[in-house]
Amino acid sequence: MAAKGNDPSASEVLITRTFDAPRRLVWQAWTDPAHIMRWWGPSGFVNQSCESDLKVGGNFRLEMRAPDGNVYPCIGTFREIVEYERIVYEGEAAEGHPCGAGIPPHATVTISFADQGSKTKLTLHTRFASLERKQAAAEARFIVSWEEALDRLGQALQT
Amino acid sequence: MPADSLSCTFAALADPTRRAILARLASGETSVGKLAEPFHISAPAVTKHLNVLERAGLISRGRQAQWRPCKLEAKPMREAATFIEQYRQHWEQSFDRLDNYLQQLQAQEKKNGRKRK
Repeated sequence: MAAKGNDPSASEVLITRTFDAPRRLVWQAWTDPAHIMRWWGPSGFVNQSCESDLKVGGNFRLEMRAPDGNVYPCIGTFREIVEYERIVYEGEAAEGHPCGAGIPPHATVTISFADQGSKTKLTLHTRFASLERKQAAAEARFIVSWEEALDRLGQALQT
Repeated sequence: MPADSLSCTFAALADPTRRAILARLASGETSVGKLAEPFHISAPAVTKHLNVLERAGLISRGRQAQWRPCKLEAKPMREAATFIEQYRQHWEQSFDRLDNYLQQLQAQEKKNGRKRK
């Protein structure tokens, strides 16, 4: 039953594309809202608005209108920005379509830009359900609680 | 399909042991003991993974038989696969549009460059 599309490792998506344009321009097209609105979304979709606060912790917000009139919001937060190299988004848990208009809720989306001669290779990596972060948070809490316990133990031994 | 049950599916799929368990179940139903064998982890650890998979609706466990056979449930996997396909389409088509747009921008830059000269 190893049918195509039933791949159990399907919690990640990797898409690459080489664009016949310099990296500087691809980066601009990807980060400037006026540019973003011209291409983001499947064919036939029109973007109504786009706000991009390009800094770590800043918000990304876009509203995409489908040919049938439905509006799909794309809401995310910038987790990492390395100019001309990498952008990491985290999708916000919002109501709406699970695709999140490109940045799904709870997903981590990493866009990497690399030179390929005079062209630019773009890599999109999406990890659905940011489990790693949850685990890291749980471990952090675990360590903190141990430190507290040891502190208390230390105090108790001194008295 | 609601976003919540999808993210539940993906959270369950995010773990390599759980994916391996699903891959094994793809060849037929089996018991917890049999499932634990190749993973070098304890039966309780396997049970923990099975609980996550069951909550996500990816497997079901027999209630009658004493060995409680585990069975793969296809529906959430199918839904996840459909979603992935839709998601891929979103970006493939966006990239087509970006490709066109970049050509336009470069043509424009060239034109402006010539004007300035």
